[in-house]
Amino acid sequence: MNDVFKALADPTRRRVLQILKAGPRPAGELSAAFPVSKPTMSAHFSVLKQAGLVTTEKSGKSIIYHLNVSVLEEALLGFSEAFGFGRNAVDAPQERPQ
Amino acid sequence: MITRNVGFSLLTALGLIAASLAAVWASNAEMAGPDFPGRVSGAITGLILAVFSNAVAKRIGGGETSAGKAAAKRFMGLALVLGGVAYAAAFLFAPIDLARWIGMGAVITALLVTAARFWAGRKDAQAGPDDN
Repeated sequence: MNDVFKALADPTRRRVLQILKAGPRPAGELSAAFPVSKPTMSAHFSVLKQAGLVTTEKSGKSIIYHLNVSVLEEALLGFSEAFGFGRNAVDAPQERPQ
Repeated sequence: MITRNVGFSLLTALGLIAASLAAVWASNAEMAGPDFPGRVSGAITGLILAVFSNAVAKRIGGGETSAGKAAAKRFMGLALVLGGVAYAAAFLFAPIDLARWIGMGAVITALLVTAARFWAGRKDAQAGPDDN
């Protein structure tokens, strides 16, 4: 459960989960939706996978991410979104490394 | 993983039996009312349904290619969790004669709502292939 709280504490990871609610997405498409570098996104994906909140499926060269949450985890996601845990971290300007 | 799940299920079953026996003993010893064992076992049954339904979206199948199917599975989990909690609450707070009806009504409603959600999702999928 610690892994789940750790995963949900970060606004970027929460946004990834919100995007995945609409359906499975390739890693590249998810990364493109955020103004952070690919290694950073990769680390976020790794945390989500370790927490068991996403599952992966290999399709050719790309990795497809699927949402894999229980009712409680989805409720926790909703709560953390509603109360904006860690929102300041994402509001701060982030530059994509060159 | 399977062994862990079976172990958890067996422990849950043993807990239910132990709690029911303790409730019967307390009732026989006149430490609690005659409806106490029924209330305890009903409440625990509802909570077990809620706990097992919590992870239903994770355990049933996997790798859904359709967003609609995955959303329907999550909806099923939520409906059954709420049904289980309502079942437990009915046995804890409602008059014991009504508790069974209220509890079963809640669970059957959850099942019907789930079936309706799957049916609606299937109809949408047949209407158009784009359900993302």
